[in-house]
Amino acid sequence: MNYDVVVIGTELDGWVAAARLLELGRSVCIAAPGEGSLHYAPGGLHVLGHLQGQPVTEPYAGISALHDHHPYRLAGADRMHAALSWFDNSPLGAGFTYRGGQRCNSLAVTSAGLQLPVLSSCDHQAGVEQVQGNVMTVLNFSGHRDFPSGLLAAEFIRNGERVTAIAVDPPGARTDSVTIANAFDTMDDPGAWFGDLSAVLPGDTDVLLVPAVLGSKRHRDVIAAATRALDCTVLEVPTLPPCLPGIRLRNACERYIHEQAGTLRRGFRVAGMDADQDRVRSVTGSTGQTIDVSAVILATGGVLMGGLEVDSHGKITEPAMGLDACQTQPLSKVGAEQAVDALHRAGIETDEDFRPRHSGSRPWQNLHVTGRNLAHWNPGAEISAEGVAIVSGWLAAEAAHRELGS
Amino acid sequence: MTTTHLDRDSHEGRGFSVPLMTPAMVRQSMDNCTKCNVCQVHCPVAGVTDAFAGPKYAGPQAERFRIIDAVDETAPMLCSGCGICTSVCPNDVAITDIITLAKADQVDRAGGIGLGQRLLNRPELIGRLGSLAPWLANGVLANSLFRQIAVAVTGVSRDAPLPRFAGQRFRRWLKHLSQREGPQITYFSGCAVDHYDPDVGIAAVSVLNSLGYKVTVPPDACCSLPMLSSGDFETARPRARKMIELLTPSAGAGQTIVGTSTSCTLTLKSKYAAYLGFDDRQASEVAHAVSDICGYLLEHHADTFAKASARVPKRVLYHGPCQLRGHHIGQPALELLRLVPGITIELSQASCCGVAGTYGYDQEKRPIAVDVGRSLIEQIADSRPDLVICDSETCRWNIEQASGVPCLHPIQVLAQAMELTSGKVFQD
Repeated sequence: MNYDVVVIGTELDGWVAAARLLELGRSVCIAAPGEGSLHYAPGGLHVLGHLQGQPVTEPYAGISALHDHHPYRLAGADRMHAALSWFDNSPLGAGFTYRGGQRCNSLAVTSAGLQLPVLSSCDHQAGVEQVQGNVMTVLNFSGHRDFPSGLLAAEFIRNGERVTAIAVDPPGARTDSVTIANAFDTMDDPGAWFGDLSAVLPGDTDVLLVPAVLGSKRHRDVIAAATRALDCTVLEVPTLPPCLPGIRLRNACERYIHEQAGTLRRGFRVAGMDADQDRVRSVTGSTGQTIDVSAVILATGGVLMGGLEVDSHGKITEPAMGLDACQTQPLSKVGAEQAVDALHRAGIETDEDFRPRHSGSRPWQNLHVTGRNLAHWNPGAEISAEGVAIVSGWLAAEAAHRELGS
Repeated sequence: MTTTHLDRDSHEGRGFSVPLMTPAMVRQSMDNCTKCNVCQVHCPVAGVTDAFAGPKYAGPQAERFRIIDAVDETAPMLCSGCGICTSVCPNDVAITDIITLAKADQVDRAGGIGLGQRLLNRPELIGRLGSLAPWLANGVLANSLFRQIAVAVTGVSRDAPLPRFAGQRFRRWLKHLSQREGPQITYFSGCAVDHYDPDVGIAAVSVLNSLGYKVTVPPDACCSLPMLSSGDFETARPRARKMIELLTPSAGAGQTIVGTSTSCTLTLKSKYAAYLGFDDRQASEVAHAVSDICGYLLEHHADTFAKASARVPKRVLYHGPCQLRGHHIGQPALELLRLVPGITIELSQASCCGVAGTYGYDQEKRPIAVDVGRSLIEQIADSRPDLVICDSETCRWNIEQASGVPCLHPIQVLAQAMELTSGKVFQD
């Protein structure tokens, strides 16, 4: 079986690349060993939140301070904006709101009470400006360990806000985020459940902050029902992983790929490939199936998801295609923080179309590398995971489409 | 042409074969678990019942303590074995297989399995008995008094989607079939086709014939999957070995062995090794020869279907069975169906129909199975398709019973698209 493009991996960059290529009329197969890191993502679109530890207000303006080969520098502000606008207008970005305007960050509330710069997030996710100055109640479910509501409330109180924290029994017997979300998804009358909650809710509550577990499918209906039943603003705060907002985005991605008649092959780990000089001709999975391709996008998720491997000497390799990994800082004999930073910044160096070098200086003609596999960026320190994923995935798709011709 | 392979010793050229995973390797895979919880997110059983803690807990997490016999057991018997956890794991942990091995240990300690499961584990025996007088057997099974007595005696749920006995119709049809010479292929029919669902086998052989193949069908025998997935390994062991011997002539001659039952073919491909440790040369040869029929057709004959398909003006809903995920081939039936002109395909939003082989037949597990399948049945009720299409037999029987919409194997629709009259199951 032949596809125009095989996207390897189900990271956000892979979903975006596949979605864009399908829109452009290409046949696409997503082949992945398992599910990607969107399960851990808080769901917002983090483009560039911090530079040298300081919050960034305008991400596009901030990119000039980044490394010369940072993915955003390879893309440039205009192409970066084109990619993020595409996401905004696609079904993947449906329900996202830009509280600071299209080009400015706003601050999102995190479960640890921190304020995280974000370009856009779901309209029912709590933003700092939205809640400040209001009488707040933080709800938690008794026994739910992935939502430190006390910490969240304490941080607000430290900043002079009026907050009460309450805990109630979750619907159902289990206390993990996914089970609670399932319970809300299948509940006959969520309005009645929140009606019962009003008995313990402080009467002067303007804003109720809840862990983002109000369903994985019909959370919008549940939130609307809660708002009606409690007569106050109800906003979600992402929990620790697994994280429903990220899972909802993943589900939206999978739905869109299916709608566009893309192919999804799970359980496919690349074990080898055939190449003709500087073009990949086919990839073979660890179970022996070979897929013929005209182009490949490698979205395997870097060190976090096994897209890059680290050996016991701190040497980093790329296991799927055998690409050279760039590693400028050592991993051993340095502090933990430096080692983590070095791990993030290690990766594959590419040209402006995200094509890696092939045996020396020439780039591969039909192979593109995206997301966490790329070198010279740190999603944690920059708060830029989704931005780089979308920008590199979308631009890799555009480049692959151009090369394939008409 | 330059070839880049990461391990030249084992990865020779295209489509190399890899070593089979044995019980020791299955257990060892728990070390890859990073406790990321992705399996917990996707487990259909844990999603509907609090009695099953979920694949991470029942699988890799409990396994560490099983080794020193210090486990507070997390109900591995409630795992349906659907394999979704393994398919979503980013780190190649063989979660379902770890749980199934734990099941087998429990069965061992309990001194075997119950009567109901023993009956369910013998689809070929029941099929043969029923075939003696299908009309009588079907009448008895449809009798509510009999079903009530059966529940009391066997624990098989009275609402379980029991198929109707079809006698030996597939084998009789085969006996009268004259085939032209051509490249040889083997078709593994399985208990479902031999005793309950002959049309699927007729469609499969007809499609292969029309593509020019001469089809060999080995004698009717059970792959013993129901025994394996319920943990009754010792009864399964000699039968599995016999099955391998039965298929060895085909595999030895270099033939592909295609099957229409995704779960039986998965058993032949990987479960004999994973559960029974069969990784010898003979077993490996058979394992590597086996292919899901739609996977094989997509890989080798997609062009034929793209060019020669007749219009099938039907609105269908495709449900990819969970066992298909274990093949690592995506949903080849869906890709083939998309080549058929006139067809409108809606995709199932559910990961599992609930029945998971014989899981949903057990009286105790039946409510869980119904809850797991609820969203699929609701989706079918909402969209009222002409047909539901699914590759796996017990899923089809379950979906058809619960939704009232006819449910077919994709090969039956493909036969229709190729304008084959044998195995034709619906009018245009």
